[in-house]
Amino acid sequence: MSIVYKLTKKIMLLFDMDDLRATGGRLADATGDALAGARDTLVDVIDDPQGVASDALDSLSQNVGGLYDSYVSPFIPDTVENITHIRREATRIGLESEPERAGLFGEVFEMVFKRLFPDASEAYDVIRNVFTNPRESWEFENEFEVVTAIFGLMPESFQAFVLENTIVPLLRRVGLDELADLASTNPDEFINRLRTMESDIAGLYTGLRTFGVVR
Amino acid sequence: MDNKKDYLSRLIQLAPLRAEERTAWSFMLPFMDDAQVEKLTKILEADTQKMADVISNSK
Repeated sequence: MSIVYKLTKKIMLLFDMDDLRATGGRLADATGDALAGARDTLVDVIDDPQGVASDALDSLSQNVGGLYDSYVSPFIPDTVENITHIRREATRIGLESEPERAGLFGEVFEMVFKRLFPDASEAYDVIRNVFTNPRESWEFENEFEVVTAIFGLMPESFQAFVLENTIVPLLRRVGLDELADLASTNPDEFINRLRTMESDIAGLYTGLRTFGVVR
Repeated sequence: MDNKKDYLSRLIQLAPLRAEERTAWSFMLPFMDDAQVEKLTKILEADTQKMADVISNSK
């Protein structure tokens, strides 16, 4: 049984539209629609248990107004407690498997890196000489865009693991000890330099294209 | 995208991950081979199942 189904079922128990309409016959349809919207918002919580629970409750209270006070507020303390509990558990469960996910992320990263730069040493030499040897450097623009994008997207919690276990050994293997030291001691600066390289190459490529040197 | 990757992409959205990690995995997904897809699927399925248990045991 899916999480979506289970949580939807629980929410339906709290906010059954037909019951509410029958019991409080005086309620306007507009208010019912607002409640339905708030219920949809709560359903959204299911897809992101760590994220929007409090926003959903705020939205609920704003949308249903008086109906909220009469029918919903008695349930709210339990609901808040539940959602807080669910969020806490989501964090705990996520942290438990984080080392395994970080290891896998490093593995994927290394594979992508090797596919883009079969000869990493040569690629870095080209990058280092980006201004003195532009005709070779611009060819790596697309590859570097992907690599820097991956670095940019890498979750902070994975960064130290991937740098230490994947990037630093890779750099040392191809004899780039200077870069390896930087990646090891100052990961932020290492990533900034990679982004600068990518930006320089992209700018260079645009320039070369503008002047018709490359197509 | 094949069925396994499609399934994994949905699982990435459902599992208890931080938003930045969802984005990262979604980006990496096209580059991942079958073994890696299977490995991540197992990890996330287990975590999602744990979340399902938490939710069904909550009040």
